[in-house]
Amino acid sequence: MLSKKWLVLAGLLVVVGILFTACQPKTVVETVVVTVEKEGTPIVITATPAPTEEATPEPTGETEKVGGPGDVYRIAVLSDMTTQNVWAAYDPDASIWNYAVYGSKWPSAYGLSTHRWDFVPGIAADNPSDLEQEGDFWVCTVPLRDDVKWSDGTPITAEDWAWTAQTVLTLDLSGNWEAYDGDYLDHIEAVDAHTAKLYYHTKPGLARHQYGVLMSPILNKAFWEPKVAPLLDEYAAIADMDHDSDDFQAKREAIVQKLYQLDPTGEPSGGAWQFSQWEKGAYSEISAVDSYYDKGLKVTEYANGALKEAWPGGREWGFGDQSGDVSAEYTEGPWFNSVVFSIYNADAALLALEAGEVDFILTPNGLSRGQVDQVSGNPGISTAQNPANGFRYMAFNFNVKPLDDIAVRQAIDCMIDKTFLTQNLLQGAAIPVNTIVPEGNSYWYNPNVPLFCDGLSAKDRLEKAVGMLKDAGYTWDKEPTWNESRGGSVDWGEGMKMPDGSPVPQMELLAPSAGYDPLRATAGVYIEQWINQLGIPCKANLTNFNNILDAVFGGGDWDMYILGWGVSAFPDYACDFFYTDAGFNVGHYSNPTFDKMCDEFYAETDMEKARDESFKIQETLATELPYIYLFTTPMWDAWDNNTVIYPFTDINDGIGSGGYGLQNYVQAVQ
Amino acid sequence: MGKYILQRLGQILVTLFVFQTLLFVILTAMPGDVTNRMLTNPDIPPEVRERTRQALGLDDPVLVQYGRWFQNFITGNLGVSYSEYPTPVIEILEERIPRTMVLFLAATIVQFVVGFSMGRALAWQRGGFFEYGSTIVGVTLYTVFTPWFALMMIFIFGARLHWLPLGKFLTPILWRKVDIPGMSDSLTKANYVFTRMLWTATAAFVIWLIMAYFTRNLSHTKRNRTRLIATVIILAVSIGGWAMVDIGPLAWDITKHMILPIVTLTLVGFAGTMLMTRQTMLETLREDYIQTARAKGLPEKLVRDKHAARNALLPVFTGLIISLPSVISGGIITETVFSWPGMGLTLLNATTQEDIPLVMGTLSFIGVLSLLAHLVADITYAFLDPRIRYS
Amino acid sequence: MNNTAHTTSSAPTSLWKMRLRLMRKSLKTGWDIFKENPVGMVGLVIIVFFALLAILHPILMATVWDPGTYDPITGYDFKTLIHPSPPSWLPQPDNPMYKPSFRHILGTDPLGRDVLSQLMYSTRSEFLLGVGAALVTVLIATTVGAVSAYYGGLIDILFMRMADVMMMLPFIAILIVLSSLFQFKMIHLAIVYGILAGFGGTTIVIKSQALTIKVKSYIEAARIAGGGDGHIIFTHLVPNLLPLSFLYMMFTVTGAIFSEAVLSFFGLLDIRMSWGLMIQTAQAAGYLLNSWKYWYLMFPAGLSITLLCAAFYLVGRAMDEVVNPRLRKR
Repeated sequence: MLSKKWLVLAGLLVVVGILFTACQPKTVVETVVVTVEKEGTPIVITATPAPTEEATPEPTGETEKVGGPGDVYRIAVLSDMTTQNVWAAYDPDASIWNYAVYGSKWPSAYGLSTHRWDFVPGIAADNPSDLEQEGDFWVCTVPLRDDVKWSDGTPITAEDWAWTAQTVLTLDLSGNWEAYDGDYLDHIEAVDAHTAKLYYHTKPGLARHQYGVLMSPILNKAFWEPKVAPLLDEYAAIADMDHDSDDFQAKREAIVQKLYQLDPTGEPSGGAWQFSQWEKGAYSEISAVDSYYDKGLKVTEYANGALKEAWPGGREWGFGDQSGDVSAEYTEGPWFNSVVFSIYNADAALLALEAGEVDFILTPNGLSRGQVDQVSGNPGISTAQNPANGFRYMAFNFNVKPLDDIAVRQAIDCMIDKTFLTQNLLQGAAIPVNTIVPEGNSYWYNPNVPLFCDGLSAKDRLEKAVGMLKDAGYTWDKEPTWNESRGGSVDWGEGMKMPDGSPVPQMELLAPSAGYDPLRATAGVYIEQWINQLGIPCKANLTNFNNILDAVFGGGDWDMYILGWGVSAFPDYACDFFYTDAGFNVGHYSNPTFDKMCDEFYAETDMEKARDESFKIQETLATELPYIYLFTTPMWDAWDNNTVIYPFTDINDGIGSGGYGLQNYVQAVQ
Repeated sequence: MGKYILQRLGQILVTLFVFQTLLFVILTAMPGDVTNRMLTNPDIPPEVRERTRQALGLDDPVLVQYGRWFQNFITGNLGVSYSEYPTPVIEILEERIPRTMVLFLAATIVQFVVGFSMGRALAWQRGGFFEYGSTIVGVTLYTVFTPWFALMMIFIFGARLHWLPLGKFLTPILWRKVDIPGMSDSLTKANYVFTRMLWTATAAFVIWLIMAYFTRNLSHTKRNRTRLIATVIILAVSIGGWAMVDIGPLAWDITKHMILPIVTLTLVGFAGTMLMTRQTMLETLREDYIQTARAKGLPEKLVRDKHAARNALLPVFTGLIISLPSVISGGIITETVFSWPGMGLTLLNATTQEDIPLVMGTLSFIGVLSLLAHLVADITYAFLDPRIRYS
Repeated sequence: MNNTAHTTSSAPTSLWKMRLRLMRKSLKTGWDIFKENPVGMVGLVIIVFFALLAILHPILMATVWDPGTYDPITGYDFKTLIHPSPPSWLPQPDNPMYKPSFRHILGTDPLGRDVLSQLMYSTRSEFLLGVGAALVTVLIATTVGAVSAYYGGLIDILFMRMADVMMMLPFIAILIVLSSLFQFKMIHLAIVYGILAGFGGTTIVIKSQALTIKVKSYIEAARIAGGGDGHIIFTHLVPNLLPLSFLYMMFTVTGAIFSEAVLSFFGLLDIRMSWGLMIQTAQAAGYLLNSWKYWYLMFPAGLSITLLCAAFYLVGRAMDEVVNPRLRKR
């Protein structure tokens, strides 16, 4: 029994210890908090004077009413942000959840307008000069505005831009930092505080120049330089090593990792919002920058495509023939004091919207059909639908016979009834896609690409597809035929032979399982049937998403697969996917004519000409069919129309995914 | 006793080693790796992916990776999360462990108390409507499809009745205005409050245990009265203390958010404890000393609560401690539905994103926790059960 | 080996006959006890009901249901325009047939497939999953339990350490990790779940039972009579462990079916149809919250999971009273 007593004693000691620790924070609480209300934005100044008896920082909130109109814009998000560090946010942590919270914090010289995706100036004062040759370099001069300021009051200058570019180029950062592409950009020179001169050692096209460097984020040099300098020194010490060696890569990665871990607390904002607080796993908050330089900017869009921007101070900028019908007119805010992003799961978010707990749900893929159905009867909730900026597609492996034969691909395309697939089978949860540029990207979208069997009946499709195959020299032991007797069905083809007489081998179609994406899984099962009807033996393998990636990008042992892409605004991805031996060209499509078109497109600097070239590229791809484009999903957004109002809701990729909740434009319902 | 504990510790270290090796084998054998995520972004060139693979050491021989994994585990360096690159895994765990612990300790205790009392009553009233009714209800809830059940709880009590919050663990609109002075920057406000809530609960519990220990020799009625008064005092002091400090409202906000998950977990899980108690009770009732007690003419209630239930408590309690890690399993479902960012949700997200270091870290934590639970169970057993003596 | 041959050949027929008779007798007494437990009977009735559903599906598919419309995976009813809620941009049908009707007794799912057909089709795979997992568990647990109780020593320590490791793995957590990293189909899930359950807690229970049998006098007698280790384990020890093993089979079935539902719900399994997947389909399309209006998307599958899991659990509990005499009322 002796041991028992010892244990009791030990237990008592533990309790004393616990009480001691539990008491500790009380001494820490002895600081004085001064809360200064400044135009509705609470700024907390913490001071530590001599210990006082019982400091009572008022527990606000409980008694205060939940922010009135115009105070807080409450957004439900489905996932937490992962970093505050801008260096990491543009590389490994690039996600909608990070950009939504502080994507507008870092200015850029130019950008795409939120509504129509027009090319408009950000902190630039006017259009950039044309690219011209100057010695070994291609140069371009960009005038910057002199009234743009960081949130701490210091001006945003060409120095900031030059420094940002230099740092990215030196450390050779990847991810979205690739916009400062070292293969083209040499450096940026700050001619004076408000004039930047870009030096390219290789002539850049639209993708590298207008849609690249000119739109890249600019960081605050004064804040970051002292923090980054030691890392640059470390890098200088290893810069002479062989850049391909493992040792160098490991050392470089260590430096970059330190960069990503730098503490960004106190970083001034160069946009409409500045970071306010982050309660990990629960919510994050940004608050409005009162001195935001674009506040009150009035944008007028004309039906003929022209655009006019007018600032309160009288400054104006625009393009096109600014007359005729005005298609949209809106004024930039911010009109709220802060934005709070609370984390919910998809179902709880919808309940929160219905309960008035949040004003808007931000989802990367839009709301699902059932969710829209649920809120559609609710008069307090409005919904909007926009096409997604992406597409689901089916890809072929050109190393597998007979998939390298254009006739086979066209015949399969002919068999796939996209209207049936999207309207009947997927119940309108999807929109058919015929070209690589999604319809929502209206400037680059080619509406007239060739279609093979559009609008035909199942019978006509089969007969046309069989005809195509026959013309190409394919034969069957038993040809696929249309059978009227059973109310119209297909008697499958059997023993299909290639033109050289050898039998068509068994094919495998990889598609994500129903758990990951029911739409693609269902499409996969149907396409399997259609391919089999032709007599091409095909088995759909519904599998884990990662397994498909691994087979396709890792092993190369595959025949066909169904996946999707979310794409960028500038359609150079069409070339990235299919250029001979390009990294994403996993199907080994190779066409010298196409490569030539891409070379031209990559090098083009004129928007109009680039558009014509892109149209031709789209036509080629729609004929050659290295991908068969299947469908895209509509992006549904829902918001509380009792609390918030948007100046426009038609926006490519939706209010949430495309506009991050339109934080700069949303207004409170009065 | 000391020798026994040492022996158990040794065994546990071996088990831990086996466990870690098993984890490593499983996670290395899987297809694909983190850089797969880069494949879906057309803006990232494939060279970058290769470079990342090299930098992360994914191309090293398996044995090298294994050695590194062990070395790191021993030194407490669990690596850097891929999905939240480059946040250290240990930081993510530190942030989320308190939330899970608070919720699930509370849920486990409530569930245990409910299950035990019902099981006790069940064993005594056999064959009646009460037995079959509560067995069927309990088992139905035990096997109900938990994700949907939890969602319906939110739907009914949160969305329709507006009694309780819709998931999450705090109200942002309330918390955003409150500033906790003196809090170190590395902590979040919620964790600051959570940790203090945990300490209070632990302290209150230990004090209660000591009180119970010292009142054990009092007579039946007197003891019950003393214990009741002491319990009320302990509760009053801890709640009163919280009401007085400035972070009291925050703690109350968290508590409100905890009610629904706790109720859900209790409803879903109490049947397990209930049936286990019933079974051990029934076995105990056959023991000679119970028959003797009854033969002596002691009141049935006394026999039940004092003789039978106390002996049944021991195995049930051990079962409870051992089941602690599986609480994490239940946690995955509950945390997902209630948007509660604890260990379960972290594991699920890390897994689907193939964030291997985070998966490893989370599972290792679960492993260590469960081994500790085993040790505690063993020692408690040795300490409480007079029939077992360890030399 | 010689000894074994000797023992069996001495009275081959009578011994087996006696065994069978004994078994029949104990089955009968067991059934008598089981019968008196209404809870167990409820469970048994539910299991039989689901078994009938499973058997009925292929028959219906071959006779009444045409595969194009009623196939649980690729079926689609063209006569029914909208499944289940009409999107606003499609022409609204005057008489939507998406709700349960005579044609589709439980309606159709968001992809236009017959829910009843899915439910019945899935029943079969759930049974196969549950029973498969249970068989693996019992096979492993009984063998390991018997062997480690019989030999003790190093083997015992090894298996018990392993059981410790298995027990500390939270099943759902480890299954989530495994199924998302590897391609998991039903069969894999059954085997992995069986192994996890088999090497874990069940082994410990069975081993402790085996320990009590090991010291019985007839085991000693068999050994003295010259019975080999293998002979004693498999003819004397294991048969006496089987009732207990059978009991744990029931609990394994419950666990396996429940795990499948949860994993499918999180979208981690590579299967074409199951109860969990039916709920997942409804959830992915956003109908889960609207469970009352679109009850046929959630309740058939959800209730089936609960009922079948509960049924096996209840049968297990009732069998516990048969196996463990101390729990009986009399």
